[in-house]
Amino acid sequence: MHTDLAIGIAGSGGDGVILLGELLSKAVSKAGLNVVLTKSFGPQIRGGESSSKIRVSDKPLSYAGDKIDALLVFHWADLMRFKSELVLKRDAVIVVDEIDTTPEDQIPLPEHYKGRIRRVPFEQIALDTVNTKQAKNMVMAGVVNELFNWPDDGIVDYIQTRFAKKGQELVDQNIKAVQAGRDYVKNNLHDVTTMKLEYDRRESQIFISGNDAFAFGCLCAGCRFMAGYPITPASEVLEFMARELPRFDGICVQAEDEISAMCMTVGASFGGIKAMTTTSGPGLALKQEAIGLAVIAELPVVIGDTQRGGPSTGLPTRTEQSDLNIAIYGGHGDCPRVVLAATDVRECYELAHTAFEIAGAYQTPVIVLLDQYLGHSLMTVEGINLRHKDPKEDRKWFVANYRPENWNEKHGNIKDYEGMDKAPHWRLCPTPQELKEEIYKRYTLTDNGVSPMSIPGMPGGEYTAVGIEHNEHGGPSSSHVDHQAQSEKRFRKFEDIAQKYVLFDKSCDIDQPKLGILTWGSTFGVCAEICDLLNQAGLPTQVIAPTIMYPLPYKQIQDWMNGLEQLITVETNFGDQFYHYIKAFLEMPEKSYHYSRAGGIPMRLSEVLNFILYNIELPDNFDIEFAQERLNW
Amino acid sequence: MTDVTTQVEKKTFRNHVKPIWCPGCGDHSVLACLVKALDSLELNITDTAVISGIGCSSRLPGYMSCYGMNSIHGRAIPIATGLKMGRPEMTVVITGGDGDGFAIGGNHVMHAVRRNIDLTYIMMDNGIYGLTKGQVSPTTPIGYKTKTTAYGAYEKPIAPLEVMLAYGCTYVAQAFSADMPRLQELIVEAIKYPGFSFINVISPCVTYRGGSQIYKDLKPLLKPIGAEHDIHDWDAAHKIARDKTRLHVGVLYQERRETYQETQDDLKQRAPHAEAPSVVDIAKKYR
Repeated sequence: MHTDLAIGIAGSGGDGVILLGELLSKAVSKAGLNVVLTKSFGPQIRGGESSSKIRVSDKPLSYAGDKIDALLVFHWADLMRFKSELVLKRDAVIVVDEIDTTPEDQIPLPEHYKGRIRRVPFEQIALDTVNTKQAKNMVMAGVVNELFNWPDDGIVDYIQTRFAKKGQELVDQNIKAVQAGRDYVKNNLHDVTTMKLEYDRRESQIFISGNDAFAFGCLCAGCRFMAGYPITPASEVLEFMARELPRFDGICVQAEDEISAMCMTVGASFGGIKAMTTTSGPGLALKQEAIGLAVIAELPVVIGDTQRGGPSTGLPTRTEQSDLNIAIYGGHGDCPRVVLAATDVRECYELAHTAFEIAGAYQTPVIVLLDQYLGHSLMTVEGINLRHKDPKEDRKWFVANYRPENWNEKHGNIKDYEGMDKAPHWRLCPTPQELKEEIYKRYTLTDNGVSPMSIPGMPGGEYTAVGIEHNEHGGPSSSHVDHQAQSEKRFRKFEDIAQKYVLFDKSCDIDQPKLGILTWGSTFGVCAEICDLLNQAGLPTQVIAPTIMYPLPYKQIQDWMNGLEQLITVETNFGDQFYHYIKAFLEMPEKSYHYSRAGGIPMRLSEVLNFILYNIELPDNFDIEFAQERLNW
Repeated sequence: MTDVTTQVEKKTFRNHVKPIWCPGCGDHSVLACLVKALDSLELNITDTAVISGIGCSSRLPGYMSCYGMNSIHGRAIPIATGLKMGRPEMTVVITGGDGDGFAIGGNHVMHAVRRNIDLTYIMMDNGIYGLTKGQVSPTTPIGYKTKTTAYGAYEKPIAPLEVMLAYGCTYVAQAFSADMPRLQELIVEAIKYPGFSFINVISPCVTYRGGSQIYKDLKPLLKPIGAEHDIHDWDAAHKIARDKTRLHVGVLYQERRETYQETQDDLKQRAPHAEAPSVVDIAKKYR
């Protein structure tokens, strides 16, 4: 009996393995289990090979897992491209369509698996039952269903919604094909596996990709303007917003280029709208000048970056954590901006809220780093804290306080808003009194660097936002005194942010860790699982990942590192960007190690664990066999 | 609360900052005309914004008392687009030069036209880079010596009017900065016009492009577009735009086409609405 199972499916164009992966994952999330679904594609736009990898457990899952317990393929040729991604465990179950005629010596698997391959006539069953071989993926769904005691919750519903447009006949055919797959297993394969999922049904869970979760978070945070340009692997954020924003009285625009997307966002923000853009590496490079404008003009904007392999076009469909440097240091001049990094899909939703909160409160650009692995993986998110900051409330506040002559019935009773001196969830604005007395200065020097910002439509608050250095009034100035004062002001905001936003994820809540794993972004998930394992094996370990990369919670990380005997930093990029960043500001323990490599595939448990076991000093009572067993999985 | 609220007062659009422009620069007149036009339209400074990029003429918002932005080189159009999309009730005017609009920011012009967003773009065409002190610009005539074309300009200049007509701009006009009453009138009309409106203002640079002689050279070429011209006739407009022997001033072309705002109103009607869209319903779709 299993409570943690991973299966891989590979096929080529028209086989429907992506749909199959979604169908099987959805069934699992409906039953209340946790699931991580990763999809992988060949370079073709249509057709070509594709694969789905699904990991299921009744315990929270932090990453996609390394090796798989079962592999299902229609043709061996389809597996070739994914050999490095779909790696089998020793005792894995292997099922292939009977129709494949590859000679045994050409099957792309190590010798010891070959005796255990089972052949199932997926295509033939489909032909026999519903008279079309296209339903073979549904037959496979039925096989998985029966073979692994896989939950079938909502499978019928899913087929119904997915194929409704194509007619009831097709829906019925697919449902029939699933049943045929099940029956085949009952009659022919009952002896194949003891790998049955064991679980209790719970409430269904939200099952969402990182990109969608981020977009959803932004919408919930009150974002009502998005400008973006299509770019892999970030386009889904733009697509989500294009669907949802018009329904929420917002605007989503596909700009003519990355620069213009950034500039439109800046323009909308100047107009008082919560505004965002998203992109990937090449786009972030193009947006830099306009991000600098938002820094000096002090306009709140949120920029999502779903990272991919770089530089230049690099690996557009593959994950990497290599935009840390450009996110923090990419601007010309002294150009501070907040950088956040999501560690998992839930964090994509949460950080969207945090990003808009910080951007608004500190009138600054906020870059949120995701990566292709997070952006495209679908994961279940337990107990998401759903909240909506509806900007309609801000609008009412604005009209009540600044433009009561524009008040009308649709805003309700004006008395509701009397005496409200602060926007419900907005930026710091000058009070109507300040504006009337004509003492308002847009870039006035304050203790925490945040100066009241008037929004077009506020009488008396008129000013010219400028990309040129300026005095407190916003008038252009080339005086070194003004430049010093305004630079200090812009950096002062970050001292305040560093105090108020000490954000990091921590795993394994133990008192005195001996080994610390310091990582960031999506690599946190795999490190958390390693951390669990090391603790079980007898090495007190803790992993932390800052989710605010700039300004970094220096003090807290330093205090944590001071208590460690050994430290290892882990990241998925070739240039050790995070390691150098930490090293520049903090004192690492004497015994510090670093593991990194270029992206392309997400960090694996086995490679990091291997590095740790060979390099870290292990305590005498360390159960090396227990740890190594995991390597051999 | 209401007693401290600043009511929107009628204030002039000109502030008290003295422009940095050279004496004799055409931009002084454009500023004066824009201010007069906005004043005469009875707009208020609180609900108006002037957006610019970088260049001599892009300094203009700094001399206005309304909201505005003096942003980065070439990006006035997308910034104004973002503002207008987010705040459609505002009047948004873009000012800038030929380098800002047709060199570094060239890509944005055609897309603003394509969206037909209700902005007014006043381009001050002086045929030179003035702020950087005299380099060749996209509209410098062939043969003219600049600091970066020591032996005379050799690349065919862009013809802004022809380009805008080809893009499908719904309001195309030309003016001369020294011909102030007409310029003011055109600005008023362009602002009132629904959709993207473009005025190419020949605004001489006396420092780097011809000295004060340039006014003397241009004045005899001035030719107001007469009432006999049908402003809805694209071919006739194109013919005028192609005629470089005269400085034609007035409206070349006008066309009423659905504006961006109108397309958005339509789109919002078509988007599937529950009575009140809710984030809870979106979350349910993922369960």
